[in-house]
Amino acid sequence: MKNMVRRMGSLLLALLLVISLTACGNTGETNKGETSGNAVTEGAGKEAAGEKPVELTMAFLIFGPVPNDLQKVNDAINEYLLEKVNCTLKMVPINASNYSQQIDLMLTSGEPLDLLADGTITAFFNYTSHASKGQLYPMGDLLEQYGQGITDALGDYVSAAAIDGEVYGVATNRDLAARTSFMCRTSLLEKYNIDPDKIKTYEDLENVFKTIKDNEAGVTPAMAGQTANGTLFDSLGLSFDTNGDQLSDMIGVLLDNQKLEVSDYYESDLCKALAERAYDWYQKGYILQDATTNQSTAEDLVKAGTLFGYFGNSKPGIEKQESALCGEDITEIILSDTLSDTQKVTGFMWSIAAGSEHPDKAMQVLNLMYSDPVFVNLLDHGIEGTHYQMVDAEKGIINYADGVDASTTGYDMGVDFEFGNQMISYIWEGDSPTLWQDLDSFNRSAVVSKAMGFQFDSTSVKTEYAAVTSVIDKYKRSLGQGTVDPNTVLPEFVEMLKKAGIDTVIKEKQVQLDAFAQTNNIQ
Amino acid sequence: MADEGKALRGKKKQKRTLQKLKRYYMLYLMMIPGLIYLLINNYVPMSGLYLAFKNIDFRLGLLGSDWIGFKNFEFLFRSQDAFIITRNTILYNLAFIVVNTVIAIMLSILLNEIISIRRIKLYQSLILLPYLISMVVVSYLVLAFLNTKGFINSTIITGLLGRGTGISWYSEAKYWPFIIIFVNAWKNVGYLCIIYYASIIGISSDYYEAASLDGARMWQKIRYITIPLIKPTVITMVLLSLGRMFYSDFGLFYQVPMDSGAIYSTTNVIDTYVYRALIQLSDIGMSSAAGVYQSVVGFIVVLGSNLVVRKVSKENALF
Amino acid sequence: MKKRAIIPNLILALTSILCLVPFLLLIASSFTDENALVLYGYSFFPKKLSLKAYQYIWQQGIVIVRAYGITVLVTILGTGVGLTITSMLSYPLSRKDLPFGKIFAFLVFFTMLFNGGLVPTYLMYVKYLHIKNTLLALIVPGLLVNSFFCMIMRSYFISNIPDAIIESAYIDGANEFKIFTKMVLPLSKPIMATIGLFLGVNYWNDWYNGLIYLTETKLFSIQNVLNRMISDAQFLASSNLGSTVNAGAIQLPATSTRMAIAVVTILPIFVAYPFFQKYFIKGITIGSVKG
Repeated sequence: MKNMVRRMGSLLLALLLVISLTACGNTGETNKGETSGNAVTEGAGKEAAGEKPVELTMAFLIFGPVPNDLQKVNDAINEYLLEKVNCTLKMVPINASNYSQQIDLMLTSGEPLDLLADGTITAFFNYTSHASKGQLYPMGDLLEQYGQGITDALGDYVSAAAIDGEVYGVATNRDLAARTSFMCRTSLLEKYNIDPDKIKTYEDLENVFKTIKDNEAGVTPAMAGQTANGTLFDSLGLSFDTNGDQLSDMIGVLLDNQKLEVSDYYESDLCKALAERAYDWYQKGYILQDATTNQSTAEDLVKAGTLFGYFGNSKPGIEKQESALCGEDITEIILSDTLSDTQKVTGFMWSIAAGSEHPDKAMQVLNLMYSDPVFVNLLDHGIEGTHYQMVDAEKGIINYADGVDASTTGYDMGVDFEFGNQMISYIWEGDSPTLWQDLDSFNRSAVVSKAMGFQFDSTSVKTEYAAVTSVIDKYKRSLGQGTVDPNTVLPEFVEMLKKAGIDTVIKEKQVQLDAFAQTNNIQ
Repeated sequence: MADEGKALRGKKKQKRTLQKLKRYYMLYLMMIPGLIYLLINNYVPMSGLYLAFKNIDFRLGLLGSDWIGFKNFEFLFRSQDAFIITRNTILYNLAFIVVNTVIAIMLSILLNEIISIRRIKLYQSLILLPYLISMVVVSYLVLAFLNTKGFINSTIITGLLGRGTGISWYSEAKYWPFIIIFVNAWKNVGYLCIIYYASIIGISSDYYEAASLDGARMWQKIRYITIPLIKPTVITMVLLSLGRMFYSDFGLFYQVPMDSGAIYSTTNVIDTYVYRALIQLSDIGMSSAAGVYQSVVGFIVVLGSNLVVRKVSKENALF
Repeated sequence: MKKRAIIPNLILALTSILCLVPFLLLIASSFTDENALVLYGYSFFPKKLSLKAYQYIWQQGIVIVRAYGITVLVTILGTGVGLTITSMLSYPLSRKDLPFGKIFAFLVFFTMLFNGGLVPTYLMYVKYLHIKNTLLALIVPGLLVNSFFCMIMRSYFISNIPDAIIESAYIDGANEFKIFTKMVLPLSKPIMATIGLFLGVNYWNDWYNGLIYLTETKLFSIQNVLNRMISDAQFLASSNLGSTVNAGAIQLPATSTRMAIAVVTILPIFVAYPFFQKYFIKGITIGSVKG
């Protein structure tokens, strides 16, 4: 016993030591920061060259593990930035499942944070909430002063995320539109002599499904989306059925994206028809039977050989991308027009934290991210010679460096779409050499919603909004994946939505949309 | 006379207090590290409960934001589900308390009857095993059993019972109360069992020896020695669980049922409702409000039950 | 004598099997080929064996080793300090004769019911105590002293430490601290082992603190590293991301790997558990022979 006590005593001592050490470490660090800062000022004073370099903190979203060579690349970036804009960058990668929460906390506590990836994809971001609650720095003036590169890259879309006329975030330049397609296995299309170009309607699709169902035992013809939560409402509802606009959350939508008329999608005839179709497909075994408990992505199921195809958003180059994932050739059957709306543009953006001490520097760095290929390629692909090598310098085509491949490379985060202007980065060997031109013309060809640039602020109806969200969670998946009979469940769903207050939300959305239209002179 | 007596008594009291202080100051000193920790970790942040009554705007600061009364609480009662989630939360928690306590006490008494030390070790390790597995993994395991092609459907129902089709577990709400209570017991009984077992082996063996001399049988010893002596622990544990009455294990109610909408009527509880409702809003005020609501109700329940315990046996009350 | 041992053994053996079976399923699926998992689901007898899941973990090499080191360090420190503080807090609360004891007990208990929520706690620790991205972030918040454990320990002291022992020791001239260390603790091995075990398990299994208070991945504990893989994979499989993010293009561990991860994290506790048990058994033998 005595020993135990003594041991505990020493443990306590050890902890105290750790505490004091870390405390020292902390103060030491801050002191160091200050002194080194001072030293630099002195140095700069001697040189009379001007300001001391500042350190900016940049938080961004990653999927999967932090790359081993992050620090190496970060150092290279700092070297470059010191020369260009006299500042350094602290790259803070945060993983996808934790991003939203961690950013909320960082913004609230006032920790050092200057640049952050933000956006309107609710799985990761809360841009509207951040902006309307004053957690982001208004960018208008800074954009004018330092943001020429950003404005050039984005054109009119630069103000797509404006709230009450003020911009708090700028979209990254990537695919800013989408079309709905059915992606399926080329081998089976060929086996049954199906011409993908002739598939235009539901009837055409159903014929294909029937062929697959009847002839391929153990293969389900279709999955409603690419992931377990995907429903036909999301994938087909407002793109294939009609050129609509989800208005970011599908709580109050535009059934026609050229008419600024907000309505409840779930109450519409379109929704009813689609729910009935989903149910019919489910009964016939055309779509996934265990959709509720499915834990795999569509690509995994195709790879395992149990799935023929799936609905999803697509863009130029998707066949190659999906083929690689599925382990066999995939054909894209384009179903809808190419559409664009606010959500497609503002999904991924960059913002400056309201608490940033150097918003001007942050904007300068951001500007480089949209206009300086050297900086963008460092962020996207790492260091030349270590992580990648040029295959064709003229066309900007690269491949992994010698002795390195996809699994051993020290820097490949796969988030190129996140770092500013994707279209000035290098293209991987194997992808189309004209990928960026294709993507650009794809973006330009889109039917743009009249509500482009509209952001809904749900603060004033948050009670109803919360209640509606939870009702949707309960019904949407089972209806949109066909597992329940819409004749009984859909009316129940619509009624529950009304009780939760969806009409109040829609009314508020309409009011805000009208105001938006008026200030922007949209008919 | 009377005054003198009072003064004397006062002096005596003073002296007694001084004496007490002399004896007990060490005990107070011992408590200090723990109390400081609770102050930092719990009491200071508790002041943040006021966020529940504010409409947070960071331009005005957390303190400067507007007061909005109980508006942040409204979403909890707004939907049709308000009754269902409250009912589910309460009933499940009551069921957990009863089922887990009974099983855990039974197992720990049985463990105490085992003579072979090696076996005690083995049983204990195995019973605790589920407690070590995270809920996410538990949800995969449950899925493995209940899947359309899962173990129960393919092996037991269609295999052994010879019925044509299995049960689609994840869309039939009626089975879930049993599944959830079972999974919860499976996962947590080992934990409780160890607490009770520790409490049983702490009982002085003198009692049992004396009882044996008196010719008591095993059941009598359990009935008249073990159970009365672990009663305080049992009461404490139950009271503590009552305080968490309005909380629930998020993983158990969200991940294990695979977030399947069709079975919300028996799997939706306050925590999952709040999560689903606020996932798009990320409103600090509203999530604080949910916490305040859960805490206040739990507090009332505990105060009430503690009062009852106090009436019945004062020394077993928590405070 | 014989009879009474058979029935308890039988019941306990059945219960143990019930607890073990799903775990075996977990191990079996971690050795199953990923495609076989998608095709046939989980099975005790894998249709196709594969070591890929463990190879994947092995490849993470240094990351895993460092994270294990951090977990071990945090668990030892946290459990030691936590147990010391908890027992020193709980024992006085168990003394019926302590003036204001009930008030303190209430103050401790109260923290179980009310908490300020994530944001105020975060502000406290990050803004004022500056523990973000330090090792303390894994030890201190929420885990070190738990009022639940305090109350359990207190109730053990109440029922298992006879007042007479304390009183006679006091009369013999021992001060209260000495009574605690010399008389009370030796009688409390079972509960110390129990709470120590639970604290240890809590520290070992904790990923929440790392999730909230760490963005510096070098400080990640094993649970942080592994939980991050699991939750990212699950998160991405269940969110609608559109065509920009290519969920599948991101190398996330497959189902079998997630199972292997679970096995890898559980096994060490399972192995370490018998060492704790020593104290449970000692608790029995110290109290002389059982009747």
